[in-house]
Amino acid sequence: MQVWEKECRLHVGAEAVVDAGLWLGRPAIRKERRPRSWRHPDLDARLTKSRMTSEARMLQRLTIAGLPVPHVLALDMGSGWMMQERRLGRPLIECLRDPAVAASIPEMLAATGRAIRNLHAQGAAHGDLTTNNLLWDEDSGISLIDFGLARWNTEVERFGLDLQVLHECLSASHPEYADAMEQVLSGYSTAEAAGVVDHAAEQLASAAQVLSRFEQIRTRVRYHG
Amino acid sequence: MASTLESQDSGIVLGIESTAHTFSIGWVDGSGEPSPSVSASVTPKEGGIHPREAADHHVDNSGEIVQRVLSSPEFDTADISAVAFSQGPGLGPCLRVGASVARALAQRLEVPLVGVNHCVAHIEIGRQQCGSNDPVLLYVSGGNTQVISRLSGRYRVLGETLDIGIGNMLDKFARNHDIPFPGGPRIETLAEQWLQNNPGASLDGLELPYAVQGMDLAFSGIMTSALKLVDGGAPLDAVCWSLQEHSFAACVEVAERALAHTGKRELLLGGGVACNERLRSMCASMASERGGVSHVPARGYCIDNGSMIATLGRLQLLHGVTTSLSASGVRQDLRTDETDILWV
Repeated sequence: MQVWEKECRLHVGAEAVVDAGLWLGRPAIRKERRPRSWRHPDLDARLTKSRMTSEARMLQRLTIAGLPVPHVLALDMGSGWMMQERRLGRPLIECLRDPAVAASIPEMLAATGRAIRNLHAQGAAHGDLTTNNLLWDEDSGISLIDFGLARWNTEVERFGLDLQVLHECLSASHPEYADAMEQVLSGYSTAEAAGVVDHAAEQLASAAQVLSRFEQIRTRVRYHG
Repeated sequence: MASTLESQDSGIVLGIESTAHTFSIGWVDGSGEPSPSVSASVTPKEGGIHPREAADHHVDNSGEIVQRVLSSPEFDTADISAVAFSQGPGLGPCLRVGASVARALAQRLEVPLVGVNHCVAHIEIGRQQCGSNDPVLLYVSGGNTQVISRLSGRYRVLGETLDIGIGNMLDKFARNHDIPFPGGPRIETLAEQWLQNNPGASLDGLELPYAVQGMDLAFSGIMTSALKLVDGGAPLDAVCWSLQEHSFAACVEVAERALAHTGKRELLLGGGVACNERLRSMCASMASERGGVSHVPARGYCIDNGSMIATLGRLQLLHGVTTSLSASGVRQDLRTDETDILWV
């Protein structure tokens, strides 16, 4: 048995090339951060190192807390690759354009909101919540992936920005679902805290506080809608 | 421009630009080919653009510019079929000067008035100049920093600055070191100078924040840290170089995220900061590494110019989207995704 058996290329992202395959015989994804020739090598090295370290630590802690994120199987800092469990499901960007799953969309969006709130309740902000980084599976529900820009943070601003990134993505890429964000927000505000919260509860912004900050951010961007 | 409507002879369309520090009039011929604009820009003696002073400048210069354009030997005023103007977004007092000139001209020439979206005009002149069909636009100017992509008949903002525009950040940094407005070109020269004197320079000790949040950006923190570096004794040209490396890399990364997200392969640069050679070369390598292309219009069509307003005005005219006098008020907060794109 090969250690890593590549099946296909999933995505050429802005940061990394993502392949799907088998790692020691189990479904996995391999994420390799490519050097960026257009970026100064010092800056490139700094960003790659800090993003890889923080992603691996973040995924490990969130996995232990029971969140729907891929766990880390292996990593090689020197060559810049990380092996992660392959989560079930398809990116939301595809699901929202697929008439075959149209009936599931309200639940998909509400579950997205709940998953984001559960992440925030751990004191973590995702930093890149686009519809490419949320997976939906009819049976197992929502998974959150790609934690390259994620941070441990209890500032309400970071949580609000997560919602703003998703809001911008939904209104830019899926304008046909005009009330999509409202459904996400309603899921967000009704999430039951899941998993182990190891942050002092009083430090953490409530869902209502995050929603009100999100409204502020929404009106702060240049020409808001 | 495959559709037959866009290839029709539109007659001469004038375009008036006055969103910020530049008052400019340009025109396109009946086939949509633009001619270089006639422009005047205000250069503040100190500080940034004061909206009212800029508006006064536009008032003072508009008469002569109108005169020069109308007496151009390249066309007869009788061939003018419409007058387009920047209706927004921009500085209110400045916009009102352009709108007033446009109303007067349209009335005098008895032709339709066409109010256009300034941000969309940057995209349309870029597409026209570069022969680019469906690009992701990285729009970097003083007031605006946005990543834009077309979807369902509108240009959508995928990401943008959450605080100040990148050009504004460069101007403010420059102003703190007695570099006159606009600061970008001088910062570019100083950065090149540092690199020439220090080939293979390291960013050690010149690190700045790198604020990328998904596809959004922020620049005020970078500026504050850069000012602190200079206060702490770092050479000004070294900090200028680091400032460009960090802030441009953030823009290019966000543009690359947008290309990855939309699956498109053409990048188009627009806005005054797109004149910067370092930014242009970063975009070119990013796009080619992805197997795509990066388009940059000539400088005269990157900065604010009347020709781009005429280009978009012509498209709207051919699609019957003109502006009545009563609807010709300016819109300081006009958004990129409010304009229907009927011509693609």
